Amino acid sequence: MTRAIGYRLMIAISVLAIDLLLLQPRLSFAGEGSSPTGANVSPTVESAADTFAFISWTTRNPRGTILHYSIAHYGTDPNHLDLMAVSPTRINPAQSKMVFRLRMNDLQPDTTYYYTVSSTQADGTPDPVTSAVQQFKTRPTNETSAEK
Amino acid sequence: MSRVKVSKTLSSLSTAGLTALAVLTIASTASAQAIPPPPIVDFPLPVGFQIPPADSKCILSGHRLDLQCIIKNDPDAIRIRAEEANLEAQALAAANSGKLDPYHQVETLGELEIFDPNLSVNSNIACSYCHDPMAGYANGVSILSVYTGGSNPGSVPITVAHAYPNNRIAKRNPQGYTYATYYPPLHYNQSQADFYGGNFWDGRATGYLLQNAAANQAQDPPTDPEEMANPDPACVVYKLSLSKYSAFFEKVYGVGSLQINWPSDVATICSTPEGAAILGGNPTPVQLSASDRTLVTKDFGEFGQAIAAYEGSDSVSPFTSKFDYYLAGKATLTGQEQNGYELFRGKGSCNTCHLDGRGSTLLGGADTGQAASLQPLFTDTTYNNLGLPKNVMLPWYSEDTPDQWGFTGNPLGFGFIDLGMGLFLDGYYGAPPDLTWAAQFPNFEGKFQTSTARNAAKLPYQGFVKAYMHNGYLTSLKEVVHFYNTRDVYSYHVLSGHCPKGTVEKVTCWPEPEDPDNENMVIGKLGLTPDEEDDLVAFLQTLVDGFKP
Repeated sequence: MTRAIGYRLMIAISVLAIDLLLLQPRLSFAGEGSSPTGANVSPTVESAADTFAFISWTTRNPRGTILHYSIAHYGTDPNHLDLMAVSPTRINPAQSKMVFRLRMNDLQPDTTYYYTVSSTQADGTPDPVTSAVQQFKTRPTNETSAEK
Repeated sequence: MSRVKVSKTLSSLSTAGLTALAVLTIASTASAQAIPPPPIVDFPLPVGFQIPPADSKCILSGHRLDLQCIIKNDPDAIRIRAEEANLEAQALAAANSGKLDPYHQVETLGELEIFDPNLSVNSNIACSYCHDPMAGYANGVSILSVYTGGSNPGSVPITVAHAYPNNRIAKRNPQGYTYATYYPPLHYNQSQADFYGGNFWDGRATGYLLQNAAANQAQDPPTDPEEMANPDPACVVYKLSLSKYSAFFEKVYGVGSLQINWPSDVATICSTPEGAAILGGNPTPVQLSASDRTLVTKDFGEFGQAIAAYEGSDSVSPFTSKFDYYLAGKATLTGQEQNGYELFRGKGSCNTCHLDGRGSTLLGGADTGQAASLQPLFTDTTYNNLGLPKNVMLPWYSEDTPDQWGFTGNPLGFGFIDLGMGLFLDGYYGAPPDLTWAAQFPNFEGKFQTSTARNAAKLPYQGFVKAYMHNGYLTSLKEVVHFYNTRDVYSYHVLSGHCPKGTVEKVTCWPEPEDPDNENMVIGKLGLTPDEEDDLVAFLQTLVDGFKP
């Protein structure tokens, strides 16, 4: 354990040094820079439990890296979507369309949430996708399943 | 619950260094606070599984196993040791025949090493004990799949009174190593912004030094305290020098390769398990001259390379499944298998990661593949978090107090969160070869290697229960496919063993993910019917090697 912690300290110092050198984020997610002219998608709530929910939407295959990220900015105030959920997914190059799905965790029961969705390539390059603000409500605490 | 992790929701992806520091801090704090596993409330045995009569006396209260009893009495454990002895004898006969060409000499040397129990600290388990050829070189002890997530007891018994487990035991289900040599050395692909290659569930066998991930992997279990537990790589070389095939090793790698000036206490040190307090944390307690240490390093590398050669040989990775013959136009799939194949590359989205050499037909995609690869690996060698629940059956969670050697395998107890590749990136095993990889921790914690689907369906006999995934939570291919299909349909915010009344775990209830961050969302709600799930299982069975057209 001592050795492992020593290694971790070395890693942490190394990474911090690299961070200071670069002084920029490694990934910049959409929502912070996606094109306003991008395709508008209509996400749907697959299901919502008391503390988690599943969101999905379909777009044309965005191409780019195989690994992509589904992103939702969300919150309980439609004017302050301060929280962010990110779920990795993978595209299949031969598909013409792409289903993006996302899981939101640590939600409050019996609460209305507002959200928008977007997606990026693995290197942070935004896909040309935007959405209007949507909403859903979580279930009360005594209903724990996500099943509809 | 103590969590040795940082939620991505809370952390900035640009501050991996701070994340690493946070992990360091939390780990340091949490290490003194072992959390006991919760009692297992609901524990149905897999359908069709019956406890072997010889094992009945090995079942402890709380659905636990007396591992010493299992090692001694279990019919699979006995079968595997007999297979090991037989295969080692065959390999030795081949080595001594003088008829092997140099290429097959290396493979045969690797075979001898893999089936040699004398290479473990207590001369009691070989590599093959956890990698049974009859089970696709994965766990071959059925009852372990049921009670320990497929994780195998290692070389070192725990003799502390009333200790559970009473044997050191690995934290994960052993990964099958067929086709492992086809994985490239672990690398971060800049254009894809993703990790590819490596061996082990978490990719820590990078293979960078030997440029061979499988060879690097082969070097790990011999010195893993939970497995073969040698305290020094030199001990493996020392035991090679005492083996029945030492002359064969030197025939392959050069006369004098094993001529090392061993210190007088080498036998004592090499019978002391890795992690013993008496060793003081010294990773190389065998005192050697600089030149002999260099020779040991060379030999240990060649030890791994020979094993990799065997793993890549036709004995282990032959490309002789029914599907291979189908691609060659020498076999025909049944209707169910064909439908499963269509689902595999379509509605099931399986070939997004388990590459079959063809295109996908999902959502109107055209199958443009013309059997691009006649030997598809059925893996893209990347890493994913499938959202598997924590397997509360792992004895690892109870290995939280010092054994008679003063070694504690898992100081965190049930508080241990298996972060997969995240453990490797944040230094759990030591520094990764590229320190900048640590910056990828937030994006790769919770991810495990995409295993090849080849030989996943290989069983030693009908009725054998095989453990799947890194923690062995799933115990049949039907469960695997059902999990992929319905993970997000029957998702419950509960721990395994605590599904709500009216549900059935693994059927209509999937407990919460062990690590919810980075959960792969390709799977989870595939919309497959029960018949379609069966069709996929039928297709997976065409990927077992040894088909006779």
